[in-house]
Amino acid sequence: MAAVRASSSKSYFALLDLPERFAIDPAELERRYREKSRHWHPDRFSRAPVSERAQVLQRATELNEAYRTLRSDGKRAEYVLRLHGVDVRDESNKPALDPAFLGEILELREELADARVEEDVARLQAIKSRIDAERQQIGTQLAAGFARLEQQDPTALAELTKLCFVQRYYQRFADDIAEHEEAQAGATAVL
Amino acid sequence: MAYSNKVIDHYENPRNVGSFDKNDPDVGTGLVGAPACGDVMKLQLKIDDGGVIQDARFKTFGCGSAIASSSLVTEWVKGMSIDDAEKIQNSSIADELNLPPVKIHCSVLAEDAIKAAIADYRRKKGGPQAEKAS
Ligand code: FES
Repeated sequence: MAAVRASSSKSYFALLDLPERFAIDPAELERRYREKSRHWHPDRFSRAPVSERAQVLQRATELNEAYRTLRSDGKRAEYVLRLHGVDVRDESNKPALDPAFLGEILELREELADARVEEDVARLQAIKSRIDAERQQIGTQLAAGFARLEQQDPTALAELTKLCFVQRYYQRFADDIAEHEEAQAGATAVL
Repeated sequence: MAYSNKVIDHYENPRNVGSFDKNDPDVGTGLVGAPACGDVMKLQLKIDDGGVIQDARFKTFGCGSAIASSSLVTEWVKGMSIDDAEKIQNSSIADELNLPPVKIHCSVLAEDAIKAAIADYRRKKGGPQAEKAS
């Protein structure tokens, strides 16, 4: 059984033995995560002293957090930016977004709300595909931007920051759609 | 999240929901977003030649606090001059609605929306370009 040290201050990438860069192999991430979570599984330490068990639990929690962050393109992008000293959670970094972009988001939100009221399944599906496509495109742009950042392109950081903000509006859609689907699945299950 | 009664009241009976024609020369439209949560708000003001706000409408896709904040400010600004409306601070909105600290950004959205709507109106009237709220 490995000796347990107190909470690590390692980066999420280091926790999973992955290189600190945006480009990631999802299968590799998955594999590392499984490996590590087996290692830090609380069951393996059930006979350890209480203090050690607490630390193991802490490690397992960190590991989950690292995995959840790195698994999502948007969260991983924000995390890598943070490692580069840009905290996108800080509103003062908020770039001026094109009003036309916000208008588009507003219209899409409106359309989504209408389609739900009308229970228009085809339209809901179309909106979902559109959001997915947008998010995929942002993912591609993020990958390209981070590649440029690694090559020390001086304009890359500002562009990536903006992309991360744009990405949040679409993330909001994705979360909303997922929540709604879950709620509906729940409602059907009750019926 | 425990919402205050005022938030719940505005949330359940939002005032002035809707839209004006954004091409109407007397209408200023403010469109703002909160990247913290990805929510968006549209606020429109109908302004007379004396610079007094006659009417207001909003559409908010956000949490209860954002809806309540926008509903509240549409009530506040009616009859106000645009110069006064521009001075509305998010802290007054947050105080009135008793918003907890994590919901402050939702009231910021409403403040920004008023400023953006007034800036849009001034732009239409060819007046001095007010700084752009985003
Ligand atoms: S949480 Fe998004 S506006 Fe309140």
